[in-house]
Amino acid sequence: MLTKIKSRTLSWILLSLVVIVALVFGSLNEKDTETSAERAASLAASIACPQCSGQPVSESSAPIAQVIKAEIKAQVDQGRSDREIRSYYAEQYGEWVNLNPSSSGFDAIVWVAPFLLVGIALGGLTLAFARRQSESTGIELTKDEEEQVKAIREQFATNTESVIEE
Amino acid sequence: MSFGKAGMVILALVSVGFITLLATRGTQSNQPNFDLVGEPAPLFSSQTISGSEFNLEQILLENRSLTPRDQVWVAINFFASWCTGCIVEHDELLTFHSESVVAAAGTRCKTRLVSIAFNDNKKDIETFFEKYGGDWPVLLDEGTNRITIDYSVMTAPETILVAPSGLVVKKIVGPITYDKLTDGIEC
Repeated sequence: MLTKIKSRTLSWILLSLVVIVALVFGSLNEKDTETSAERAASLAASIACPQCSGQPVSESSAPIAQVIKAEIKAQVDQGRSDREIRSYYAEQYGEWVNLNPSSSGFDAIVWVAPFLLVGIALGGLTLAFARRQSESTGIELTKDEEEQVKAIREQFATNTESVIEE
Repeated sequence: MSFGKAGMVILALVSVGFITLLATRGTQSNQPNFDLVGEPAPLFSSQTISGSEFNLEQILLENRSLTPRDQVWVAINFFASWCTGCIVEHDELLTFHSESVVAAAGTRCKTRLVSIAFNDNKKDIETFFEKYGGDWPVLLDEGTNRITIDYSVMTAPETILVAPSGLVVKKIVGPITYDKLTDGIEC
């Protein structure tokens, strides 16, 4: 029994470790190793062509998309940050040209909502299990019934030990 | 309240929140941006295809020391040799360039026209002007992309009228007419 519990705990610890390591590596800033061309390409893929419908400038052949692509490259070469470049285009054409929702203000709900929903779901499940457990242990047994349960448990434990030994 | 009911309430609240978010969010629109009208014109200085320099800031600075009659209104025309709308409006621009604008009070106001090439090349622009006429400055260098975006231009032709004070007074998307461009000019 104890071995089973230990191996289950170990599995949880290992799983948690894998998740933490994945999150740490995933959140590491890889932009330091990006070349200017890669940065410009990444920005062009996340800024919408103002003349098109939701299509990034990187994929559009519209003349204004060509102009913006060339200007993004020039701005990257001038050393402007991604945030500065994104806010410049949002200022000229509207916030909607940013295909990645902002992580601040009202748009932040897009990033927060999934975690909030998972939290609510986990909380709900925990409460539901806790309630079921309390309901099942809340039944009062008579003395005879308690002795019967005790006997069954002892018999079960003896049987389990003999199975493990075999 | 049971857990089932509580769950339903939470789900309903989240749904209402998302509907509110979608309903109140700004329309994702690819409509022209007219926010610049009434605002100071973005200043620029750039090379013309003939090699001279056009400096909007210089013109606006000079306006300060002139009487209203001598101050210059500037029309900035975003154009391309491949653009059919640009051919449509070209005669109207020729008129604007060759004649001084008569204001409602009868006075003759000074104007200047500058075209900014939009995703184009020098050879095609020269061929366009040889064919359709016109000798006003046409800007094309590494800085014209920035000017195009500073003026929130989406396509050609688009024309901006800048008052002598430096404020943008109108933005016309599509081919202009002489009357549409000059209406409201005073001096």
